[in-house]
Amino acid sequence: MLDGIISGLVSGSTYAILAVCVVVLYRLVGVLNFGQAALGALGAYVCYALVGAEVSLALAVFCGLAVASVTAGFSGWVLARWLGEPSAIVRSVGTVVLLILLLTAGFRLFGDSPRAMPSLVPEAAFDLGGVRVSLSTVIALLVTIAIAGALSLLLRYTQLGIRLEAMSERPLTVQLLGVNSRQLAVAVWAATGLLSTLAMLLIAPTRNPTFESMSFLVVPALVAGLLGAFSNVWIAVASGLAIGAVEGAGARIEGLADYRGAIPFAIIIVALIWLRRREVWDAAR
Amino acid sequence: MRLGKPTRLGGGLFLLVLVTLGLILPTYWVYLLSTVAITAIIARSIGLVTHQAGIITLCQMSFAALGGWAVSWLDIAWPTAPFPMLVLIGGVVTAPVGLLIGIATTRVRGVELAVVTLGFATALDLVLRQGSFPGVGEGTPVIPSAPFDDPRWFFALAWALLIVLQVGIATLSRSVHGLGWTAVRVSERAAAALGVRVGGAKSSAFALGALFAGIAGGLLAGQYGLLTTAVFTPLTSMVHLVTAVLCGASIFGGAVLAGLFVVFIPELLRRIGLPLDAANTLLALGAFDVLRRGGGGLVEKLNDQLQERAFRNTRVTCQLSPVRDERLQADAMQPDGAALQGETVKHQTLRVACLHVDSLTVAFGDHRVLEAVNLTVEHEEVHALIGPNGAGKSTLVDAVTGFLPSCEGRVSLDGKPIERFGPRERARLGIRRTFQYVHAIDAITVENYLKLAAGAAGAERIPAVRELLDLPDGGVPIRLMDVGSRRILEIAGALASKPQILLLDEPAAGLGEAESRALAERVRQIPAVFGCAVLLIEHDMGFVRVASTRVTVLDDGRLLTSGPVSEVLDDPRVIAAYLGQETAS
Repeated sequence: MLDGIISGLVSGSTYAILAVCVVVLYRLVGVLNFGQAALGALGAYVCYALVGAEVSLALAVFCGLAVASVTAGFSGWVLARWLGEPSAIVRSVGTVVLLILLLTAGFRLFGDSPRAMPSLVPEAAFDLGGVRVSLSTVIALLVTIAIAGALSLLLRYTQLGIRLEAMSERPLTVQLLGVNSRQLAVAVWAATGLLSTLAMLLIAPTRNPTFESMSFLVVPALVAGLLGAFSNVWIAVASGLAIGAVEGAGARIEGLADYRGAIPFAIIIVALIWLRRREVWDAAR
Repeated sequence: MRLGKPTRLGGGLFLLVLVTLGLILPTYWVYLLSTVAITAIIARSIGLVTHQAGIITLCQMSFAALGGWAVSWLDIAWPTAPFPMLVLIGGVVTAPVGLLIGIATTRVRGVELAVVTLGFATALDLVLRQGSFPGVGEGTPVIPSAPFDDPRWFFALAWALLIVLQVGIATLSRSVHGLGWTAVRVSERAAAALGVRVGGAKSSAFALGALFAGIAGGLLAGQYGLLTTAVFTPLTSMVHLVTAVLCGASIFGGAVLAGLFVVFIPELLRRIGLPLDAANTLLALGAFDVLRRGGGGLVEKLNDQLQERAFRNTRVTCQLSPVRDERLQADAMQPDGAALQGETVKHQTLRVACLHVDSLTVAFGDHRVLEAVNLTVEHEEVHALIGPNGAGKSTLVDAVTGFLPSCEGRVSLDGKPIERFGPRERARLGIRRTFQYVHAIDAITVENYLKLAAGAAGAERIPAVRELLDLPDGGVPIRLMDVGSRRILEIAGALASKPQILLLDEPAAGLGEAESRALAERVRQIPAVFGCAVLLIEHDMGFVRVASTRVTVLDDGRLLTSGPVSEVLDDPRVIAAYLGQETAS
């Protein structure tokens, strides 16, 4: 059981990083990005395609990250340019459109058969109190915490962070103060594209997923973000890791293993009933 | 509802075309057109859940899968049953699943709810992939019972179901419950203030959406024979969502167009030798274009334009003129007024105030927005609540109407404590309010708004309200009205519900000078004509002098003074509070 939990933390790290991306994008740009994981999948698959074409791993990773960032940045520009004004709901339907486009493109480019994916982390493992812990688990956890920590510090203590927070609170005011909010939005999008690719490169070797199944890893990430009400980065990280751990544990239980992908939905329903037991009203009077 | 002549004519023509096509087209095309009807049912269910109730649903095909599963199973377990009955059972067993999701997520809204629906879609997809649909393993397809095994009869069944469901949903959409969906979409807060059960409205939209999708799924089982999970993936749900957005599926025509697009675009691509998945791209880009332009899907926009043309020569504003004073006074002696006099006597013997607020304290964190405020509004008075910006006036209205999660102090209506009630219960008890920002629901007509606001109780009062506030014709869509007129319509709706007390939050904002004065006179007459008290928040002192008899002044969350209008407004402390001086000497 404990083995299962530990091995689930790799997936958990991926969910956590994706959840951080989702939360940051929602907080700063006001977009709930259903295509978050698909952007990462695009980067990861570009990387593996290049590795398959005998390009060195380092260059392939660089190209994957670059393609995902540029695609994400462009998507952000399109959404800010044409759906800047309407409500968060409309912008989110816009990201559903993005997901459909990415899935169609991914299917065209990479097909729907899974492929072997080289690990970025050397195969190694050690014993910790009788539990087998692989090096990739440790690295994944460290990367997750580093990303979440760096983002929290960035948002709280730097000029850029203050501008970003201000932009999310009062976009028009910030624009009148001479800050180019569209540029900032594009930058945030590009950064989340890069981080999502990183998250996918972490999880891919353990699962060898198809482009489509990778893209739907956004579901546990969205669930993790929702548990933190799409505002708290650290709750999102903890929830992402927890979902991974529960899935890992579920994988070791007879009869539940095949259905462990349904766990996020069960978690979200139970959690929402508990978290929202008190009435809270929507927007302003 | 009475059908207009053009509607009846159009409907007749539509049926004629359908029957002709079903009779003369080759079987292949009849088969495709059946799929159009099935897809249109799914699109209409998205129109209900997303366009009407404002919930982004990413799981409509999952509901369809449940209906399809049920029909596949029933077809084996009960081979003698008529196929249409199986399809209906498929829908009926799916509806509770939608209802459960709706109930579990009552307090979740907007994009968060979309995440829940996507979670459901992926979870169900996974569960279905583990097993398969009943009969698939054994290779026993669903064969609709005769005569529906004939494609032309199946065509008739699919379109008949679509039309019956559409007529049902259109009728329901005009009922008080169905209008509640639209109210919830615009603002849950305003919906609750109108007495709408917010959770109930969302749950029923989910349940009916699931019913529709379940029926569509059952039909698909009959059409395909053997179902595969590939038909019901989260991705197909998303494609159906964007198609519904593109076409504007809250309208019958939009749903049918969505069906045509989903079926015939891939067909066209196939014929010209292009990959079929380009259809998804086209539909997604089309939806993006619709979102970019705003104002609804293709057919919704067309419908709006036709409406605008129809009301081109109709008055669409409330034209308050200040001349009808005496007649309204006379109206006060009419039946409504007589009933009211009886009430007055009753209240005098009870000797309780209409609204009584006792040492109300509201704190947001450390900041005390209201501190030990007392306020009494007598029956049949217009009581003004004034004070500088940030004095806590709107917070007081929120506290009285039940929108604040926590506040200390006592609030009673007619001597009965009401602290433990939520906003909806308070609205039902007779506390009605309007909002600083107008929430009148722009997607419906004046008549329907009044019906929704009045609820079951107040239908007979609507004519009197219309006359007092000079509302435009009942068929006028609210979106054609200007902001000032919508504000007056909100007051009208509140009055139509026979409230005990009406709380007006800055009713004159957005009105011109003359209109504002005319509205002030109307507000003054409200107690006499409708027998209800008014608590009025207003910055325009001219309005306050005309409309109200007593005034309470708040300053920085505290009660400054209270008394008759002329005394209070000339009080140096009140003038000082407004002008921001330390003391008035």
